[in-house]
Amino acid sequence: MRKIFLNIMLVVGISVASYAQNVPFEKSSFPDKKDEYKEAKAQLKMGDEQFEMGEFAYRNALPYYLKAQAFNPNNDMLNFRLGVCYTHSFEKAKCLSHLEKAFQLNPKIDPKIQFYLGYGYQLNLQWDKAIAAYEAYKKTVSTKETPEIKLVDKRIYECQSGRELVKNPIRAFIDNVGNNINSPYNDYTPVISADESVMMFTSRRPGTTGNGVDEGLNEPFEDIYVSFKKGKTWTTAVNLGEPVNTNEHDAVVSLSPDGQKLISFNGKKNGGDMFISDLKGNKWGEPENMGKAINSKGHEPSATFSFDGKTIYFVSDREGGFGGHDIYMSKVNAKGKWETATNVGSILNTEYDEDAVYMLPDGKTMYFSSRGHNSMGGYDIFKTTLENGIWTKPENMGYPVNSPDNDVFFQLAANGVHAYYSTANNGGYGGQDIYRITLLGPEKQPVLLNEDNLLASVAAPVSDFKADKIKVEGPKITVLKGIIRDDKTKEPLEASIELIDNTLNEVIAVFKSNSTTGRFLVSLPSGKNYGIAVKRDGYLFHSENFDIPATADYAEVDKVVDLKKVEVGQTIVLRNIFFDFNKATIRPESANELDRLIKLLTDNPTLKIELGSHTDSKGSDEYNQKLSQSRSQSVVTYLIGKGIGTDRLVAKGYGESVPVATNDTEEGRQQNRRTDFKILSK
Amino acid sequence: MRKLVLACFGAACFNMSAQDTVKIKTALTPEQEAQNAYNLGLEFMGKKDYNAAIENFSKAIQFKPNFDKAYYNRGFAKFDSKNYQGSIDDYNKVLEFMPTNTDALFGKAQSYYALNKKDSCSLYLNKVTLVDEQYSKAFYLLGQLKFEEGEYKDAITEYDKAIAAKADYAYAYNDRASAKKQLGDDAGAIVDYEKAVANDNKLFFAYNNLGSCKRNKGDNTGAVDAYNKAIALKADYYVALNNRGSAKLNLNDLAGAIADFDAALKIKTDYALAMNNMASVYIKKREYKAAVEWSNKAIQADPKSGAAYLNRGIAKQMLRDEDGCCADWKKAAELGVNVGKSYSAGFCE
Repeated sequence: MRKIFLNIMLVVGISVASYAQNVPFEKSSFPDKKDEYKEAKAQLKMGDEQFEMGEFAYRNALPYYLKAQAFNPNNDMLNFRLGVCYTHSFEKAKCLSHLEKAFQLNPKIDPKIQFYLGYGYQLNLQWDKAIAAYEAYKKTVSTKETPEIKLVDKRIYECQSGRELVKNPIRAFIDNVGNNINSPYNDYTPVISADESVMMFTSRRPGTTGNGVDEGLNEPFEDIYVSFKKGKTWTTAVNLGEPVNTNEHDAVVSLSPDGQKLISFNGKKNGGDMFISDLKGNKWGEPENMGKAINSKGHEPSATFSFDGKTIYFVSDREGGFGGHDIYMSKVNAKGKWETATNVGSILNTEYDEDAVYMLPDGKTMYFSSRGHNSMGGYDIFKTTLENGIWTKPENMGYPVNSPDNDVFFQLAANGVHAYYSTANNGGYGGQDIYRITLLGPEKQPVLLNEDNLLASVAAPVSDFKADKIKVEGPKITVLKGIIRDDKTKEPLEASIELIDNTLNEVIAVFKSNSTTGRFLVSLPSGKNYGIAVKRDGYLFHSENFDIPATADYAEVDKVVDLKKVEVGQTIVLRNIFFDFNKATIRPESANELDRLIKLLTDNPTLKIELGSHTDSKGSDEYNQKLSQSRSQSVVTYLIGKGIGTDRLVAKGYGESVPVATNDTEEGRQQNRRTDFKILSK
Repeated sequence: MRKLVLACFGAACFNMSAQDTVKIKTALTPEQEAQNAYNLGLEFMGKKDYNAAIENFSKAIQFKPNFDKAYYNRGFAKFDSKNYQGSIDDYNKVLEFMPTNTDALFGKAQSYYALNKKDSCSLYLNKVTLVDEQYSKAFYLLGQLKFEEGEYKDAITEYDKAIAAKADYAYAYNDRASAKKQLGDDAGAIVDYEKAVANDNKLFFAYNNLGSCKRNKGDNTGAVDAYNKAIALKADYYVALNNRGSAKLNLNDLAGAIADFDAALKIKTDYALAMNNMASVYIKKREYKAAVEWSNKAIQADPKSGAAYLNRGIAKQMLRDEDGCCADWKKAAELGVNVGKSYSAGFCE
């Protein structure tokens, strides 16, 4: 339990310690810093003296208060007054930290603390907190205090406007124009020629004509300065000099688009009148009062010409307006005098101040500043256009061009991209500075590059080749043709050609070769095993074999048959003697061939022959030798069986030893597998 | 006995005595030689060995000088091996035998097209259609000729005829769609692209083109779907990947867009279009330095890319490089991207 209590006390203690306590500006608060206290107190007093002079002197109190603050940062009243002073300076946003501190030190430091807090939040774009603070303040105000209520409501409306405007900031670069123009003092109301080549502006820097000083503000009188654009750089601004600048306040109001006419404001007469000067060569003429149609007993701080110079729009707080300063219009008559001015109406003018009018050279677009409409605080810059004689609803230029502080004197160059204005809101060289806005317009959409394959035949070329094979068909016949000759003389011979069906052992036909040419032609239909025997008396017969399958297509065979005489040493291959595979058994298809051999031996009874059998190289030498010997013996045995004398026959197996063709191909091996006979003696 | 023996052994004789039978090499007739060579030529055509095919067709012609089919297919082989004049010569031979052979006439037309002799191509295509009103390929090629000349309405007329002759002519549907697209009729183009893929769902390019039409009409979701199909059919289709990336960018799917452009660049490393589009994504992301880098690559890949100059100018403007921005917009305008001029107006001195 005690542990919990201790922990609670610790948390409370820490909470208490994180909030500072008010430190009165009294000697007793600083027992050990008497000298420093004395000095800080003196600063405080001087600051108080300025503060009590009124709003116009608030910013003069700042340096003193800041020194006192440096010594004692936790004094409620000092913080409050610092906050208030900042709201009247050119660094308004700095008020917030002091006002928050003051409120934290003492929520009841001032009846208007919540109001100022609201303003501080507003200046720092913290819209919701600002609205809450204003609402809190509003609850403390009597409903009878209508102006105060109205003011708070206005502030709340400004915060609501600001909240919306900040959501969609305009695209722009905002750049300080540099210290050739800006100084550590207030520099404002820039006016430019249409081509941006000339800028004039008002400055409160030392060196003003006549060296007049505004005692209340402790600032030199206003003077007009000029700068020229060389390339991308502005020249060092110089005082425009007399006669335009005088010993009084001289502020620039407007420059004609061609830069040849200058409207200036001189504060001496009637609370301030507008004057116009002409540029003659490079010298400005004596300013002339613009006359009663323009200048009234009231305050006319701003004016702008139409592009043709025949109409002027200007600001005045004369009676008869909508409230505060309003925008008026006047036209020049045939005599060159300005006619009676007319109020431009309630589309542009509000119950609040309008100021800083600027007409574009296009003749219909106008920019002006207003505390009314949907300003987010102080003056905001608005744009309107004249359509069929009627002004369009003013459009807030948006954030960041506009801010909760005063944004005035917006001048757009003819190119529509660059604009100039003055503000103290962006830091700078001191006081108000002149800035150039580069309006970027809507977001530029990047360009995408794409391509397509529009034509199919280009994207995916198709070869539509299609062709059917031809069925190669011819007569199923083999034509055997050729020539029969004497082997030695090569003379053509007439001979008989027997066509034998080896399977049936039948002679199918007998043909003869031409007796003169020796040429012959025999047609062999497919599907048979044919034996061909070429015979002529006095010659050994010639044997051929054609085993033609039934599916064989048309073919032609050209054959030269050289017939050999019956002479010792002659060898005849017996192409139609067949054996069983790997055996020596003579097949029946061999009958005709063997009969021819028998006839030969019978017709030549003294003939002695050797029956030779040959193999191809497949198998071993020994095997082939044995097989071939067996086969030749089989033939001999057959012949003996047919009555041929044994002494007339010799069986010899040659194996693979006497090839007549290559054994590397089947065709060659077929040639080598043979039976032949050789004449040994006659 | 011998006869009995013969009867017993007759059936088995052939096979068992085969080894001992002497076979004599036979010769073929010229007709057979021609046909065999022709068939062999066809086999080589199937294998796309055009030189061997031509050799065999030539052999066939040698054996049979009036072999029109051999001439025709040799012409085809010559066409496929880009010997277009040679193919014309062979088609002419066919036409000597058969003056109204539409395949040969069409073959000539195709060869003239390949030789960029569009007038001759057109002449022969018209001859084809005079002979055969249903020769759809001729109408198709006529359509293509018109398309390439920018005469899109006439192209559509020819494609209409092609489709009338061949109702499932997917290619013709695609090309007719493209002609409609060129005329700004995206809705009509979409209908035809869909018919193209309905007739042939392997047409990857038709899916791509369909996607682009949908993208043009603002249907970026539909476009992505179509591009998906194109890419599913052809995984290395960098054109569709780039297009899909653009559709995704339009849908503000910047990560998806980057992935697609990246994929396109992996396939085609010098694809200036995707490089430019990468720059566009980074402009959207407001990462302007990266945008400049990608624009630089696009310009290096295609020095005439006005879009790349324009985009680089946009990025440089935001990086406060005014001189660089203005130079790029000026260049963009010179290269035909006129918006560069309007961007420059006022901003650039």
